[in-house]
Parts: sequence; structure tokens; C-alpha cells
Amino acid sequence: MKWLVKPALIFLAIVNLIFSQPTSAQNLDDIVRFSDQQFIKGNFELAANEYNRALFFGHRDADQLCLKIANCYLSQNKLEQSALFFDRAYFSTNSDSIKTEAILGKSFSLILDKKYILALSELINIDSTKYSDQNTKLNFLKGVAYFGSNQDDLAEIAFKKCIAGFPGKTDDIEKDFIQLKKIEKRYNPQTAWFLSLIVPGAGQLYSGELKEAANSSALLGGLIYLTISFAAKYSFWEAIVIVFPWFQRYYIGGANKAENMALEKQKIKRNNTYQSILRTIEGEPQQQIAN
Amino acid sequence: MKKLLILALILISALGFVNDCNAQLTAYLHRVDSLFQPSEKVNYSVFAKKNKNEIESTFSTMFIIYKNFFSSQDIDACVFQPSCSVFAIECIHHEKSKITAFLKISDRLMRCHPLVSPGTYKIDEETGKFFDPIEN
Repeated sequence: MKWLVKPALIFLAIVNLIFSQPTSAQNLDDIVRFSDQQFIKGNFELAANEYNRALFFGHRDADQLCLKIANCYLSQNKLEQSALFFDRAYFSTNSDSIKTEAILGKSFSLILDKKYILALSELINIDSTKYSDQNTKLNFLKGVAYFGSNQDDLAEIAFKKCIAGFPGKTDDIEKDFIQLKKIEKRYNPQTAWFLSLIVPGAGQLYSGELKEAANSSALLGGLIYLTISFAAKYSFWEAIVIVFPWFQRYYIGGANKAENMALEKQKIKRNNTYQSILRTIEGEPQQQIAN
Repeated sequence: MKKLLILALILISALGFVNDCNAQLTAYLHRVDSLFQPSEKVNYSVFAKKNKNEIESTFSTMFIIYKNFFSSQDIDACVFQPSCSVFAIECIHHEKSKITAFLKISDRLMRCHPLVSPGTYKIDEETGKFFDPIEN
């Protein structure tokens, strides 16, 4: 057995030499660096998972990580999760700039989720910031949120603040909002509904839907004719019981549809105005609002 | 000359700053571009493209006429999503046996009334109606 001692010692020495090298474990900064690379490459899901891992194991910049995770979710259109992580970023930081960034990010997620009132409730917490880029974002988001919640006067003010340095552009926005007010008066849903009740089809005509107007008039005209002919052929009560419910159904239905058509027209014109405002802010030639 | 140069430098830096702010905004602008896009009108004639025989063609034609001339003027009475007429035409296209399709349509029409007990069906988030596709 003596002969075994020497080779065993040599073997142990070699093994020690190999494994005594300092092992470099993957540290949290490496994970964050890797996640940053994935984010730049557009692998948002992987990036979010890795950021989450770094956050779980207690990376020192929890606020920055939360912002990054929120941005990953935002890029994936996971809006609820994104808003949640912006909220976490807000509560895990002492920096005013990150707090503002988190509020802006959360509001942006809520706006994309079409929760305009909730977004406004976040945005009104910030009056203005000392950073001009955040101010521009703030006013822009306020503008969109007010516009989405149909508070056009406040939306106009916010959009104007967003491009305060350009008098020509603010004039364009003012014109857009004047045009919008005219359009909303022109396509009043209540008027369309009322007109359809007086003369079936008139509401549709008021909304500019000629085919629908003719359809409604013909349908209700036919049902009136059927009621009268039933009354003449059989009895008045039979006409009331058999045909009149159909008339009533299409009469009310026609009025409701006329109201919906006016609303739809308003939506189309509102979208045109909104697109025009966006182009003005972006600096591209203004689109003509189609009448 | 010196003052002019200073003024020009200030103007250039101010313009650069504004452009920077605009660049910050561009990312936001593209995401909110389609926020107020109105929903597109449904084109019911697409159902006619799925026709495989004369029976399906007949029902598709009836469906398109009903949707364009009657349903477009009707009150919103159907409690289901997809509506009974869409369910019916999908059944006719989907079911191999037209008798099964007829039975399914009859069953649906009998279930469609305002007294449906809540909880029986899932709610379609977009329309707020009971979700009942032909796969159910």
C-alpha cells in the first residue's frame, strides 16, 4: 500500500490546484447587465424575468430595477403589470426624479389601457417638475387623458403647454379644438334620436347616412301599411296585437341606431382631430380634418 | 459681431434642446396613435365566402339581407355574444349535419331571453353580453 501514497498525494495536489482557483459566481450586476442587453435586443420577456431575479435576490437599485421591469411589461403590452411595477418603483425610491418618472410611466400604462380618469388621478399629483423633458411628457399625457375623458378645454390647455415655445403650433391646436366643438354640435346624438322619433329615418339622414335613412323609412312604412291593411282586413285589435309590436320594435330601434350613428360620427371626427393634434406636436405637416 | 455670435449659439442650443424634448415625445406619440380609433364596421358578406353548397349559400344570403336591412334598424335585444343570427350562420357552416345545426340554432333561440340567470355564461368584456360561441 505504500506505493499508493505518492500517486495519491500527487493526485490531491493537482485537484487542489485546479479547484482552489477563486470561483466567480454570477453576481447581481452581471444579471442586470445581461438583462439590459436583452432589453436592447428586444427580448422583453427574458429581460423582465432576469430583472425580477435580480430584484428578488436583493439588488441595491430596487427602484431602477422596478422601472426597468415596468418598461419591459409596457413594451409587451402587459399594462396592468407595468402599472404595478411603476407603483413599486415609486414607493421604493427617495429620488424625486424617479418618483416623477414612475408616476408618468404608470399614467402612460393606464392611458394605454384606456383608464383615463385613473391616469388623471395620478397626473394631477404632479404640478410641474424641474426637468423639462418630464414636463413635456407630463403635459402631453395630461392632454391625452383629458381628451380621452372628454374634457376638451383642459386637454387644449395641456396640449398647448406641451408645445409652449411654438406660437404657430399652438394656433393650430386652437383651430383643431374650435373645429371639434363645431363637429360635436353638428352631430348631436340626442337630436338624431329625437328626429328619428318624429320622422323615422330623419335621424339617420341627420347623421349623413342616406342608405340607413332609406332603409329605416321603408321598413317602418311597410309596417305601418301592414298594420292598416290588417286592421281593414281583420280587426283593429288583431292589427294591434300582431303587427304593432314589430312596428314599435323597429321604431325604437331606428331611433337608437340613429343616436349610435351620430355618436360614431363624433368618434370618427374626434379621432381625426386627435391625429391632427399629434401631427402638430410631432412637427409633421398638419393633416386636413376631413369634413 | 461677438454679440451676434453669442445670440446664434444660444438659439442653436435652444433648438437642440427642443428637438431633444420632441425625441422623448416621439416614443409616446407612436404608442397612443390609435387610442381613439373608432371600431370598424363589421362586413357580414365575409360569411358568404365560407359557403360550400347551395344550402349554405341560401342561408348566407338570408343572413346578409337580415343583417343589413332588418337587424341594422332593430333594438339590441339579443343577450348573447355572438348574436343569435351570427351563431346560426356559424352553425350552418360548421356543422356537417344540417339537422344538428338546426337543433343547435333552436336551442340557442330558446335560451336567448332577458331572464338568463347571471353566472350561467362567461361575460364578454367588450360587449358586456353573455359569451356563448358555437364551441360551447
